[in-house]
Amino acid sequence: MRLFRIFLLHFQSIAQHRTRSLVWFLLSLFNPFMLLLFWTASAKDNQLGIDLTVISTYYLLLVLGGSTLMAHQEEDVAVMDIQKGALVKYLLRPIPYYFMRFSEEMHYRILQGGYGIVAIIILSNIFQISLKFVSDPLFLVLALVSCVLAYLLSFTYKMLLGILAFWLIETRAIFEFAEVVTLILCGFLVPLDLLPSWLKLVAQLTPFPYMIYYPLSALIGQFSLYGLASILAIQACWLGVFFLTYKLVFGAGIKRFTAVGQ
Amino acid sequence: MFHHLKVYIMLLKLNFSRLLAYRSNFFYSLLVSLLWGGFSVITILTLTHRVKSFFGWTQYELIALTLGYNFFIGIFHGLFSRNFDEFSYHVDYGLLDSLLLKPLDAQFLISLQYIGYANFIRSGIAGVATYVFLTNYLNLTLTFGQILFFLTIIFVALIMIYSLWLAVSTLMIWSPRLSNLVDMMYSVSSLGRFPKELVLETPYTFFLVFFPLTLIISVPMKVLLHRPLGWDLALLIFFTTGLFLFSRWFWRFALKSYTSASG
Repeated sequence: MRLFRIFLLHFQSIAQHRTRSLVWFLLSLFNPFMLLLFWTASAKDNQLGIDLTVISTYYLLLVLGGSTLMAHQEEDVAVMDIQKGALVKYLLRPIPYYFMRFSEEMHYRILQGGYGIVAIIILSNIFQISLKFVSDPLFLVLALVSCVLAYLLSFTYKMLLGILAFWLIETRAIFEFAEVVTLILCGFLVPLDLLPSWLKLVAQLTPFPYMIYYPLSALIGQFSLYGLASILAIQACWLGVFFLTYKLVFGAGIKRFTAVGQ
Repeated sequence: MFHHLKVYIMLLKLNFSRLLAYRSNFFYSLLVSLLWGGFSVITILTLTHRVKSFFGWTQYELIALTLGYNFFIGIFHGLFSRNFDEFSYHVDYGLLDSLLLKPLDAQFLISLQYIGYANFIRSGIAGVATYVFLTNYLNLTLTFGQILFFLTIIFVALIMIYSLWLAVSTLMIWSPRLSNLVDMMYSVSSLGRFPKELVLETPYTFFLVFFPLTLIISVPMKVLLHRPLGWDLALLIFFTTGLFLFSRWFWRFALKSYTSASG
């Protein structure tokens, strides 16, 4: 009950900034649509050999996936919590920092996810975009599990990035670099299948496509049962690696934390 | 006008002093700027990996367009972006008061006081890369007159994108917490990397509102690529004039609602 009340309190706070959150959502809406424009226009002029319905569904789902599956708390962790000392208030509470941050971030994702669903319904109707989704209930459940794991993965990854501020004063360049890597390897730019083969191979060896590309493709119904099971297993492995690394890095970093004046 | 020029030269000097005082900040800004420049090149290389031509624009011409865009956007970010980044801070904390009380145009001060020198380096690198790419890969000969004409059109395009950013940033006078509108403009401006067919040839007619943005670099690059300009230059001038006049009016109109920090 206490956790639920904390959850509701956070949601009240997020709801106060709903217009700002809407602008962030519009920002995440713009890039997928720009790329969708490129592919639909290109398809008129070229023989691309790609299924436009799949591409359109992918980019529309990217609007939703980009706003719900990708966490963005790293700057707050680095600047507000570690550099300006707000971490103190979390350390004094009986709930681990990771979970408090998880709860706070989740509200933004829920709100933006709401915007995303509304946007997908409106845009697919206005622009007459035909969508392709997985129809088998088992596949749908597995795809949704993959989405949950993807969010946990991206959240833990961003926590890891944020706590680098225990050692670094200037984190902006690292965050921007991470953003660029994320945009390319997660599948924000193009679905992995449309990447050059060498880049696709590189991407598959990293955890990034498991945050966006694979869960979204699973929702479209691109994988067999065996393929889906493999994706879930790899996501779980990466999550385990990230979480253990986070525990180790946070444990080492907290010894360096000096509250205000870090 | 001459007085404003003298003030701007002083601002250039002050910003350079700030650069020397915060050298590591300059270094990081340079790194970030080059990173995003690199990203835009990776983007077009990835997209043109499949699409070898786009409504008459060849793969190499699309790459040249991206390089030209980096040259353009480097200048824009160097001259203006930092000011729009600070816009919300000025309004939210009532710092706009001090600008309004100065014997200079407040729009001039709020949109030109900070200069991001690091971006000029991105622009310089992209400029050289564009020249090398055009002459070596596309085997084009560029005359001094063409380059001068290109720079003149770039100047017009800069006024257009400045006006657009100003009009959007002005909304923060009513809602200063919406500082992420500027973040959105960074994304929206990146539409300029593509030719106008991107919005004209899709079934999604709503996106025609972004048509002016697709002119900002495709029109000047057409000069260097020896392509006919058609009506594009006239359209660019038309949209630039319209947006400039609108943004100026909108700024003055918004100032009537400015209530300082207590608002």
